[in-house]
Parts: sequence; C-alpha cells; structure tokens
Amino acid sequence: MSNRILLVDTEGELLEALKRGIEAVGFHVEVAGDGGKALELVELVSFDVVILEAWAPETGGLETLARIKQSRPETEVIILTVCESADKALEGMNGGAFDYLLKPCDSETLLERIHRAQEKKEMGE
Amino acid sequence: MPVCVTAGDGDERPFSDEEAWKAFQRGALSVSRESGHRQIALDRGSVCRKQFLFVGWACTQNTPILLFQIRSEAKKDTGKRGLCPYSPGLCPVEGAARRLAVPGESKKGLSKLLGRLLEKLKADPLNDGDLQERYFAFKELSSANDVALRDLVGLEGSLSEAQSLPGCDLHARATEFTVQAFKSIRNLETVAHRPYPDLRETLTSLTRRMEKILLEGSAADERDIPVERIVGLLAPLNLTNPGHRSFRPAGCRTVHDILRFCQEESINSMFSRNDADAVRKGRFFQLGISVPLRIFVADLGGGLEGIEKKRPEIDTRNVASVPFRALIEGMTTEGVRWAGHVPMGIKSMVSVFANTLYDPVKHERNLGARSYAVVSGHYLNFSSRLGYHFSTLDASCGRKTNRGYISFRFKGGAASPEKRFRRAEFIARILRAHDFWVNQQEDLVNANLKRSSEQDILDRLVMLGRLMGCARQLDVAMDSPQRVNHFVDLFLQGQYNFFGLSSPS
Repeated sequence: MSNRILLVDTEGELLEALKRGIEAVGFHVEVAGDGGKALELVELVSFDVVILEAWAPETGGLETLARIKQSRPETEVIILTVCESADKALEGMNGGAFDYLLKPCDSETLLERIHRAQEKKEMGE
Repeated sequence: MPVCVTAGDGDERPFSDEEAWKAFQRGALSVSRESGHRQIALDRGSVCRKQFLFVGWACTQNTPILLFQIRSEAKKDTGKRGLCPYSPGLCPVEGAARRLAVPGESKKGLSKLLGRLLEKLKADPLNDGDLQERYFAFKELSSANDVALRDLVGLEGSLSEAQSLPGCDLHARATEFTVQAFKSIRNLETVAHRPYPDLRETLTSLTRRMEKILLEGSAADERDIPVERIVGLLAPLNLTNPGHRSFRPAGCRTVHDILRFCQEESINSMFSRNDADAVRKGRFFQLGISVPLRIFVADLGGGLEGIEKKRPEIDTRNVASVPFRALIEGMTTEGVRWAGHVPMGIKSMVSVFANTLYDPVKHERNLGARSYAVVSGHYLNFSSRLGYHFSTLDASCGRKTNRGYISFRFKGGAASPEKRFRRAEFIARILRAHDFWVNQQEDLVNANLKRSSEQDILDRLVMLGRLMGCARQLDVAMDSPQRVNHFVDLFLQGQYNFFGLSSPS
C-alpha cells in the first residue's frame, strides 16, 4: 500500500483542511484544483484513493472519474460533493465510484471510507 | 497434482520443460501459490476479471509443477508486491508459446490448453481468491445496510420529534440512503456472481420519483415538500418474509425493500448454497466444538493451521485466527449454557409454537442450523442462524494502533414480540456496558465498536462469545421487564449460568 491520496476540489480552504486531516493519520496527500491537473498526477503516480468533487465544473466531473478509472482501474475514487441529487449520486456510482459522500462529511466517516477503499484496492493487487 | 503460481522463484527449475509440460497436460488444476519460502492462497477469482495469464513452471519438493501467474492488464508495474515480471520459465502466455520448447505441441495447442484451464477456473465458483473478493463485498454490503438502517432511524426520529424536516436535510438523507442501496446491489452482484437488473431498475425508478417530488416541492416552497411521500418511497418494509414468493427483486417497492432483499440474498449466496460442494472441495471445514453449533470455517489466509489434507473436519486447535480464538474462548467459557431446557410457562410454549408455524422459514432455521466463520489471521466474520434468531459479527483486530472494530447484529426469536424485545434490550444493555454504540429497534440490535486496540477487541469478542450463548434461548424466559434487569446484573457480575443448569455440552 502506498498510502497515497489525491484530493481534487476547487475549494482551496477545504482542500487544505482535508489535506491536513488526512495527512495527520499517515497518508501522503497531493491536491489538484482542476480535472486536468488531477489526470496529470494520476498518470504519474499510483494513488490508492482519489477523493473527487465530481460536480464542480472545474474538476471535470464524471469525465474525470471515467478517465481515472480508465487509466488506473485499481485506484478507487470517492466522490465527496455538495450535490445532493440522488440521480447524480447514482450516476457517479454507476461511473465506478467506490463511494459517494456529501459535504460536510465528518473526518471519521471519510477516513473509514478511505481505509475501506484501500482494502479493496489491496485485494485486487 | 497442484498447479502452483510462483511469487518469483521461476529460476528454481531442475525439471525439464518437457516434464513440466507433461504435468500441465495431465490437467493439474488445484491451485496454490508457492514461492518456495511460503505458501499463499492464489487469488483465483481474479482470473475472471483480469486480463493476462502468465505461465511457466518451477518445482517444489521434488514434484514437477506447472506454474502460472495472473496479472492485471492495468498493472504495468508488475515488479511490485513480489511478483516477478519475467524470469526463465515464467513468461506471458503468448511469449510462452514462442519460448517454450514443447514437444509435439503447436502454439495453437498451447493456447487451447490454457483456454481450457481458464475456463475450469472460471467454472469453479468457490475458489480461494474468489471467496476473498466475495467476502469483501459481503462485508461492504453489511456495512451499507448498517449505515442505511442508522440513517433510517435518524430520519424517522427527526420526523417524529419535529414533524417536519428542512427540505435540504431530507434531500441529503434520501440521497445517502439511496447510495447505500446502490452499494448493496453492487456488492450483492459480486457476492452472487450475477447481475440484478431488476433491482437496479427499481432503485433508479424510485430515485427519479423521489427527485421529482423534491424538485416540485423546492420550486414551490420548502415547507410544501410532502415528506411522507418521500419517506414512503424510502422507509416502508414490504419484504418481511424471505420464504414468501413475493420475496424477489420484482417485489421490491421501496429502497428499504431493496436493502432487505440484498441482505437476505447475499447471505444465501454466500453461505447456504453449495455447502456440501464447498466442504468437498476443501474450501470450508467443519469445526468440532463443544457447543451445539454446526460451524463451517473458511480461511482467507492465516486463519487456520495444521489442516490435514482431505479431511473436512477441524477442531479448535486448528484455529489460528486471533479474533476467532477469542470468540471461541467466550463461547466455551465454563457456565455459559448453550444446550438444555429453558424454564418457560405454558403461554411461552404456545407463543413459540405459534410463531414457528407462522413463519414458514423458521423450520429451516432450527436449532443447530449452520453457522459460518470466515477468518484470516486478524479478521473474523461469523454468521449464525441458531434457533430462531440470526446474528452476524464482523471483527478485525489489526495490530495497527486503534484500527480494530467490531460490528454486531442480532435479530429474531421464537417467543412473543415483547419477549423478543426484552431479550434484545438485554443484549443492548450488555453491549452498551462494554462501550459499544448500540441501536435497538424491536428485536433487532445493531452494535458497533470502532477504533479500538487489539486487546480491547479481543476482550469484547470473548464477552460476545459468552453473550451469544447466554442470550440463545433467553427470549422465552423474559416474562417481565424485571427479568431483563436480573439477567443483565448476572451477566455483568460474570455469572453466566442463569438457570443453574449445566455448562456447555
């Protein structure tokens, strides 16, 4: 397990807060403010988990999710979003997301899901 | 003859290509993975979903053994995790056809044989790696159910307290509930090895209806959102009897129905079917233990030791799984009474009898029905259908600090609803006294303990083993609320022989 996480979101403050929280439990965290940067990083680095705000236009949404899964099928993607639509949630899950969490999400839940996603990835290796 | 997969010792090759090839032609198919230093269960399930099959050969213990190695198409960095990307006698399928000097065999012949091997592996639904993958899905499904039920309790609680809920809050909760249902379906498909298009369709349809109602509500006024219509699509449970013909995907009318169906179907798929086949193939072992449970154990790796080949029975000395050993210690604690008569009045007897008749499934869930433990060195999942109740326990006691958890669920009983409720209350109070987060709804108890040290987890598993024994037939003895207090006090004082009867037999 590489313990590498990629955060993809446009909200700078949130990114920093999440980064600190996740790093505090021993992960290496990279951040990307848009979909293009995220995909560049995914090509370069094998992340365990990508945490993606799939409904902000800058992040590229489900297109980014699809390209991550295409490029790195073993990497699990957790959508962390403000979008409350159940329709959209199912779209994201059908697109291959491991989980779909709504903001604000408590750190305990997020970390638990990261660990589960890691467990799944590890099993597939 | 076993087919082995090497973890990189392809150089160890005192047998000729021809000998190895003959072994392959003889149809060696039983799979283990051996590096010469350690034996690892091969992820055979991966054969179904991974793209590349690598073949080669090596030897172990003077036996010529054909090797093959499976790798993901996407996994380009194959040098990782101890898998040798290329070595003499261990090379990609097409490369093997080119490289191997196989007497009398053409490339086409080789491909054909490899195809047959792959087909046989795919056709075997209970291989080791497959079990691991299915078990992960089963765990995820159970977890999604737990989260969904917790959401449902929260939603109903908020509604009953406030009689209304802000539209955005309702929307978020409905979405979270829907996501858990989707996860349940997806994981059920992995567990059962087949798609459930009807379930997916029903969920999509329910979601669309829900979104439409929410959209109309928010367009008008948030206060006008017909909460009861939304809750009506989510919460009612129509599929209550797994034995009834309506208990099928087409019978699901709410999201709760979907969750319930997935839970029951996953248990059936995971355990009840193909037991004999699983035992025959050596995937499950029947555990000899001094409690009246028929426990079948499957090992995901490191959970059992000293297994005699071709012998389907094991005893507790073969259990290496740390959490399972703790649970067994609790179950076999002196004084914990698993078997024997529980004092009950005439009314209780009538109630038990009537209740058993009412539920056509209960005769199948008779005393001593099968229980299943899936274990690894530090992991345990224990599902028990004992008597007229069902319990599941999922626990991990990883050595990493405070990463251990226990999830426990208990439901059912043969006595009247209020007695079953009292027994559930007894269980809930014991669990709370041991720091579990507990939710009780009628005779259903959901309990969790998270982020605990290894020792804390093991202590509680010992306690749970005792609790499972003590609670087994306690519902019929729960004549009054005072009995709950009495039994809770006894248990917490370490007196497990509630009726002064015999210890485990």
